[in-house]
Amino acid sequence: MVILTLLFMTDVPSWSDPYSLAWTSAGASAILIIAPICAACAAWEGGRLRRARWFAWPHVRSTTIVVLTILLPTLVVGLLMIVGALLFQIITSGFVFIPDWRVLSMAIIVLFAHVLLGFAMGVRIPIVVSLPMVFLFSFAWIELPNTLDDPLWLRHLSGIWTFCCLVSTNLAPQAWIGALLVAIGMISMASVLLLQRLRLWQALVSVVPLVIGVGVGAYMVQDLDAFPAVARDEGVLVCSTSQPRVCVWPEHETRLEEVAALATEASMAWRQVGVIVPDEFTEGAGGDRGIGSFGFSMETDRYTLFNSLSRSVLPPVANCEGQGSVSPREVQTYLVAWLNSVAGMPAEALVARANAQILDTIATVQLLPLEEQQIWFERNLIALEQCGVPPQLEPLP
Amino acid sequence: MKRWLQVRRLDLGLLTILGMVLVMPLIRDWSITLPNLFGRDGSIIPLPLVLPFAIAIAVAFSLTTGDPLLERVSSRPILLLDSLYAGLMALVALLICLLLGQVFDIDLALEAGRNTLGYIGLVLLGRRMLGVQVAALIPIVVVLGLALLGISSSGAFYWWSWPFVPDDNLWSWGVMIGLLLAGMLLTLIRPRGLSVH
Repeated sequence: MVILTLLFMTDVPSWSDPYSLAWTSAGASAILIIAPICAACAAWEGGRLRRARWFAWPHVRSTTIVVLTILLPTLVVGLLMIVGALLFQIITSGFVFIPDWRVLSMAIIVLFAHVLLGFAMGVRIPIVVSLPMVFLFSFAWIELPNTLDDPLWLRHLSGIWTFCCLVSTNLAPQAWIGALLVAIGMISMASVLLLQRLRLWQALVSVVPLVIGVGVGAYMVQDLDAFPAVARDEGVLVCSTSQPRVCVWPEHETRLEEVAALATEASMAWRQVGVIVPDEFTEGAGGDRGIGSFGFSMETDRYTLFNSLSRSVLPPVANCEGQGSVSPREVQTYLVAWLNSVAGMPAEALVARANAQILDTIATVQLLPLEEQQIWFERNLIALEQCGVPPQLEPLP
Repeated sequence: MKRWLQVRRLDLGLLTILGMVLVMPLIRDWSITLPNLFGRDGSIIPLPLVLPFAIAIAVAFSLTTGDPLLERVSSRPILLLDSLYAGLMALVALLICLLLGQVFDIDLALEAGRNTLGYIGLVLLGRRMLGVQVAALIPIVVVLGLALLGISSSGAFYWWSWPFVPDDNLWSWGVMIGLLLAGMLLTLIRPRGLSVH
């Protein structure tokens, strides 16, 4: 299990941002390997009790105590592997983080649910069948939904959220609750199966809590897409005191000064050519012309950051698919290139972000008098926002 | 003979095959991603290729349903019957898969049938080498191992990752039939101790 988990860990996604939630989620995804193996081990332990016909005899100690005692080594090994996976993440991330409690707690709950249900299967079904069956079902329940295109939300119920989350998002509470309900369903099913004198109708009814857990859980997560994420609370943004104000996520705080300086420099250049510059640049949602929304990661270079700020100055692009020969998206690339150039982006960085035709046009525009450049910008800004307004990308002779 | 078939739970074996007939058309386009060492995004394994695990498990179970003590002193050739039973189940499954491929036009049906031979062979080998209790786990471990190692960085399966290669790969058929025959032969050898079921 150690070797398999380590091999698995070399393949989990790594993130450029020191976002604890993202690194914990990727680390906890090792449950895909840990839970099926531990569940199969638990089935083996259950098989030992089955062969001894232990459940048929009266016993002094309660079933709960006996089951937990037997499962303790399996659970401890599983927990150690989760800790090991998270340590691996801490080493590879290059920063020390406190694992996100929601992801960590769910990994532990999922491990416990799979182990307990595996044990119950081992007690009730011959070991030769329960051992492979428990392993396959445990693995399939976690992995199979990830390969289904529809419904995408089904994957969130396994409690493994490998790709959660970008720095601008947070774990959706409904995903956590949905996965918890499924785990409770599994634990309840196992509890019924471990009744001392299990009758056939009880064995059949044992599936009901699991069905309810999956049903209610599915109802809770049905509005989510492929990612169990919601927008992050903007109250945690860290802001500069400069003008314009720049707000970044706490994970990017070390680059706040650099971004603020860049924003000040670019804003001054844009104001000089008459561009209305937002009073604030934020990594949050922004929302209106007064606040520019941009984003970056810790690996983003200076000029990509520049580009992101330029983009945030522009209003949202209208969706005009199939209308007109030039799409607003194309207009945006011209305007961003012009803003980059005005703000002083070097030629080699411009070449990397726009094609020759755009660069030729921008060069021609910049040869125009300032007023005409403003007219060109405002005209194309309208074409960006509204469908049916043809842009004037090539300046009139 | 009738009693032996009852004890071997032939009904369960046939039910499992029926289950495969019902399930395979439903999951024909489904796949599962298994971790791999050299590929980039995991090995994508079509589910029909691993569906025959169910038949291998059913065979493994059937061969544990008797009373080892009684069977040891039986006047009938129980080991030979067991060996033939496993081979027959593999053959029936292969024929059913052929039929499924023709009727439902399932591309991977023949590969699934071929894999059934190998999986049952591995179960039979596992019974004698590692014990009856873990026998049904052997094909699963082998498939996981082959998924882990048997894919190149370009995403193609190596020729020796036999459960995943196309049905025109004669080598894979040779391996599967070889495993089944080896398993059937090993089943004929009487184990030294009594197996614990």
